[in-house]
Amino acid sequence: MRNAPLKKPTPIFRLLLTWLLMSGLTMISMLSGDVFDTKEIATPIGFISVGILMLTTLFKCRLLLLDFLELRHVAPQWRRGFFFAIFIITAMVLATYVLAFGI
Amino acid sequence: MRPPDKDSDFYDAYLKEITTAKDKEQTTSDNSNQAIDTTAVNRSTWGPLDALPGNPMMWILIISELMVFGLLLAGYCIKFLENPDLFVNSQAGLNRLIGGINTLILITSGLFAALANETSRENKTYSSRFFLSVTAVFGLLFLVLKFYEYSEKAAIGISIETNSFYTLFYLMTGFHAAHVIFGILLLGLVGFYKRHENIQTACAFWHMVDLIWLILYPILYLVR
Repeated sequence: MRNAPLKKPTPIFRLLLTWLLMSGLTMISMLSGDVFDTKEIATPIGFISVGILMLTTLFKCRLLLLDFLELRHVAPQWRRGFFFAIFIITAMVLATYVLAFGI
Repeated sequence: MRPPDKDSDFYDAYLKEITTAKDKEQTTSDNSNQAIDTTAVNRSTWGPLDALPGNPMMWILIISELMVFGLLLAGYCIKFLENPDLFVNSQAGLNRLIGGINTLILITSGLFAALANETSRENKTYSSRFFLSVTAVFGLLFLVLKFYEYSEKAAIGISIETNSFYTLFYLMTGFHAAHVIFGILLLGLVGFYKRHENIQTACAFWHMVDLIWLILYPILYLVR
């Protein structure tokens, strides 16, 4: 039996999928940042949690740039430039955390 | 029509008429060539920025804003390294849940902005206006929560002058909130002047505001 060719998702379906992914990643960020802990105690969340936070931030920004800001179909140099800028910021924050508290 | 005889009295008038017609034709053709050239020039006025969706000026603004917030965050990191305990203790006083809810609100507003852009591309004016209005409502909701957060802090005596953490916190979130206000005004404006390029440009601005918050939220509220 021949496999039917996969249908290209419609732009609106893609936007909804992007929104769902971004919302899910935000929930992961909130859990990783221990957002439901309402006690005003400064408990460090640790290097791994900060790493997860920065990775989810990077991925969310990537989705926003590609689908909401419509960079998916422009020259790859533009996409790389914007991803690199966001990567530099997240790497800077991660490096700051390591320098301040260690791994 | 046959030309008059060379010896006839009408021949000179005929020649004049032909020359005028030819001149007219030449002028029209020059003008159309010029029009083609102008279009070509217009297309390449912004160089590589022309490849980006919407008005290139908006992309210049987006890049500048990313640089400004990037530098503010670099300043935040430097101050964090100088006194990590002060930053971690001050950050513990923030309402992380409200920050998270605000992130979800902005992401959802971003979806509606993208839908407004998509429907305006298909010339669905009413849908596009509806989505722009929903985007603006979510923007207002973000501002209401931000105001609640600020007033909560003010009630316990925390202000921009409390310490360096709160100075940077109020500076960055306040500057961002000002962009949200401007974004709402811009959405209203393009909802009125509803050309696709206008809507695409305003939505790009809104997504930039969204993008900056996606970076600010984890750094200011969660990293500790």
